[in-house]
Amino acid sequence: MTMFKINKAVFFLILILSLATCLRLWKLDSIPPSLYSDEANLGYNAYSILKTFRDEHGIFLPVSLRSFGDWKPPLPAYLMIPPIYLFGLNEFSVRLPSAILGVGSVFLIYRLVNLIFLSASFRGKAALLSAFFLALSPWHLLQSRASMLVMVALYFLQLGVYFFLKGKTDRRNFYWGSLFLTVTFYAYYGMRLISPLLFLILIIYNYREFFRKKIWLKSFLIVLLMITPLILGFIKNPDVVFGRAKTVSVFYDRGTDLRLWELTTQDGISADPLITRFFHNRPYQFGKKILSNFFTHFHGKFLFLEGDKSQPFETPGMGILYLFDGIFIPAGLFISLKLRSSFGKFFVIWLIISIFPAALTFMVPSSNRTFNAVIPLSVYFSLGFYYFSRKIHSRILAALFLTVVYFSAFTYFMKIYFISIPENYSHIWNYGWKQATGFVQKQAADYDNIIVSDVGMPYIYFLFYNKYDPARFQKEAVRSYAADQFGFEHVLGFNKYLFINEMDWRETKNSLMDNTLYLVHKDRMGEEVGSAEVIKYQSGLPAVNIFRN
Amino acid sequence: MLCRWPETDNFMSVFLLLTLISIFNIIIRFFNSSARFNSSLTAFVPVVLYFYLANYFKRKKIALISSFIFSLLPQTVALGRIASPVNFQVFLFLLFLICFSYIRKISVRIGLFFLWFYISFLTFRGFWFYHSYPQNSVYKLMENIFNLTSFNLLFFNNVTYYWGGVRENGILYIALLPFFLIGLFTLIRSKTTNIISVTAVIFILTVMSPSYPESKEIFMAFPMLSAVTGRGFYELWHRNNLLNRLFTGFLILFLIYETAQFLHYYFIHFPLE
Repeated sequence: MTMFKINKAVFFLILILSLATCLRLWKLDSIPPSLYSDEANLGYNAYSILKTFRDEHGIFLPVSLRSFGDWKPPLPAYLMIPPIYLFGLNEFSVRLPSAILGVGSVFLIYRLVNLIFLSASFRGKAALLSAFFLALSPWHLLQSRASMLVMVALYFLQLGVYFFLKGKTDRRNFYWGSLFLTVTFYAYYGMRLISPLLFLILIIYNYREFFRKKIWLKSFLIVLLMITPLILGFIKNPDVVFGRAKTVSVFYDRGTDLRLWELTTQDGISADPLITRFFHNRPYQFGKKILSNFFTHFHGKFLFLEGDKSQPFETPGMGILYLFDGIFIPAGLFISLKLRSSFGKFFVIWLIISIFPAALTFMVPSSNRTFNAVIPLSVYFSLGFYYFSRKIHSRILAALFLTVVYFSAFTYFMKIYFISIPENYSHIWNYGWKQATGFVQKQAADYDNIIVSDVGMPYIYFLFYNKYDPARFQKEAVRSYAADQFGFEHVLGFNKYLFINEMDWRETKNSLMDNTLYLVHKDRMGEEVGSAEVIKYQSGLPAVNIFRN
Repeated sequence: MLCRWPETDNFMSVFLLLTLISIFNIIIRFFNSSARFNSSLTAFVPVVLYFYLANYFKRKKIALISSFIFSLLPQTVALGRIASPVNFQVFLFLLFLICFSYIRKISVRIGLFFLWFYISFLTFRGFWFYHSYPQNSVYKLMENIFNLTSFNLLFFNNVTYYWGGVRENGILYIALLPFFLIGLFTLIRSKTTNIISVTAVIFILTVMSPSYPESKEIFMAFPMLSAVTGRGFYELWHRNNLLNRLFTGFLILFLIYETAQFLHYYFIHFPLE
C-alpha cells in the first residue's frame, strides 16, 4: 500500500515537472517576442565575461554589474556563461538558466512542503498541489521564461530554506543552507534584505540544533566567506551594494517630502514650530507611505485583475494570479494560521518578508520585487484547495468543476501570453530593436554615422545581436555616467553609433548630418510620418523609423 | 419572543463609560459646528451600537471598545458635524438590528425588516437602490469589490467619502489594523460571522452603486467594522502576555497620535484644501 502511494506521488510529480518543463522551454527564444533590455544586458555581460573575464564596463570578474547604472547582482549573468558557450549568444541561451531554475523551483516547493508539514496528514497532497499551482502560475511562468534576476534568486532561496530546515535531521545541512541563502545576495538586490531576515527566522526556528557543537560558528564563517567579495567591492565602491537601492528607494521620491512641505506651510508662521513638527514629520509621513506600499501588494485589483503595469511584467487583461485563487488563498492562509505547528506560520513570515523590500521602493505594486511571495501563496492555495475539496461531498462533481474552472483560467492566460502579447503587445518587450540591428548591419558600411534615439537602451541590442567584440567595446564606449530621472546611465556612443537620449525628430530633422543613418523610435517621432524604412511591431504599427541622409 | 437582556452586573461602570463616550462625542461634534440636530443624534449612535454589540458578543467590554472606536473614526466625526441625513440611517439601522436580534419569530422579523425599509425610504432617498439601477458590468463590480476591500481604502485613503470630504485617512486608523485583522480571524475561527455577513451585504450594495466610490451605503458598515476591530482589541488585550500588552499599549498610543493627526488635519488643513 505504502509502495503504491509513493509511486502515485512520484508519478504525479513527474507529470507536473514535465508540464512545468514544457511550459517553460517551449518557444523560449521567441516568446516573449523580444529580449527586454535587461535580458540583453545580462546576456552581453555574460558574453563579455566569457571572452574577456570583464563586464561591459571593463571590471574584472565583477561582484556587481554596473550595467545601466542599476548595479545588477551578477549571478544570473555568470549562470548564462555555459549556455552561451554551448549555444552562442542568442535569446535561448540567455533565457535557459531561468527556465531550468523555474522547473527546479517547482520541484523544490514539493520537497519544501513535504518537509515543513512533516507531521500533517495532508502533506503529500498539499506538496503536489503546491507544485502544480507553481507550475501553472502566470506569475512564476512569466519570470521563468524571461531572464530575470528574481527567478535565480527564488531558486537559491528555496534551496537555502530547504537545507536549513533539513538541518534538524542532519546538522551538516545548516552549512548548505547558509551557503545557498548567501548565494542569493548575488542574485537579486532585494535578497540582501530578504535572506538575512529569513535566515534569522530560520535560526529562531532551529536555535537548539543550530547553536550546538559550533555549527553556528562554521555557518557564520561560510556566510562571511561568501560575502567577502561583496564587502571588498563595497569598500572600493559603495554603489556595489547601494547603487540601485538609492535610486528606487521610497526616500528618493520627492512626492512625500513635497506633501510634508505643503502641510507645514499651511500651518502658517504663527503656529508653534514644535506642534508643526509633532504633526508633520518625516517618520510619520514615510512610515505611512511604506505601510501603504506594503499593503498595496494585497490589493485584489493587482493580484487578480490588472497585475503589474510596469514593463515588461505586464500581462494585459489579467492579474498575477488567477481570479479564483482569490477564494483558495485566503482559505489556505486562514488554515495556516489555525495550525498549531509553528511551521504553519513560517509561510506567513515568508510572505511578509517577501513584500517588505518592495514597500521600501516608490514603484508599487511590483510583481518583480515581491516575487518570493509566490511560494507562500502557492502553499496557501494548496491548503485552501485541499480544505475545499474535503468539504465538498460529491468529489467527482467538485473535481470536474474545479478542473473546468482552472483549465479555463489557464487557457485564458496561455492565450494572452502566447498569442496576444506577441501579436498585439510586443512593445512591452522592446520589440523592434533586434530587427533594426539586422537592418543596420547590412547598411552600416555605407554610412559614416548611425544615430539612434535612445529608447529602451538600444546600444545593448547593437552589441548583443552583432556579437560586438567586448574587448573593443570596453575601449570604445563613450559614457557620461550621469544618471537620468530613473537612475539609469546611458551609453552615448561607440564606433560609428551615437545614441541620443532626448531626441525629438521634429527638431533633429532640420539639421541632419551628411551620410548618416537615423533610427528613430516611434516615441520620439511626434506626429511625423514617412521614412525610408519602418520596422514594425507584430501588430503592424510602426516601432522604429529609419531615415537616410 | 424576547431573549434576555445582557448581564449588567457592572451597571455603574458601563453607564459611566457610555456617558463618557457620549460626552466625548457631543464635544467633538458641537465644537465649532452648526448642524445641531444631526450632531446630537450621531452623538448617541455609539450608545445604540453598544446595546446591539453587548447582546451580540455577550461581552460588555467588546461592545464598549467598539462603540468608542466607532466614535473616533474620521468619517464618523466628519459626518457627525455636518447635516448629513445618512447619520439618521445608521441610527435607524442599528435600532433595527437591536430589535432584530431580540425577536425570534420569523414573521415579526420580516415585518420589522419592511418597517425599517419603509421608514428609511421615507426619511432618506440618498441610497442608490431607492432611485436607480445597479452597476451592471461584472468587471466593474469586481474592481469595485477589490477597491472596497483593499487595505488602501480601509486604512489609508477613504475615497468613498464624497468629493470634498476628508480623504487623508482611511475608514479606520492605521493603528487599528492589527486589531482589525485579529478580530476578523477570531470571528471567522469562532464562526461568529453574522457581523461579517451584514458587512458583506452592505459592501455588495455599495459596489453596485452607480456613484461608486462616492456611495453613502458604505457608512452603514462602519459600526460593523468597529465591532470587528473591537473584537480584535479584546482578543489581544485579554491574552495575559506581556508582549501582547506592550504591543497593544504601543498601538493605543499610536491611535491617540493618529486621532490627534486627524483632528489637526480636519480643523486646520481641511478648510484650506
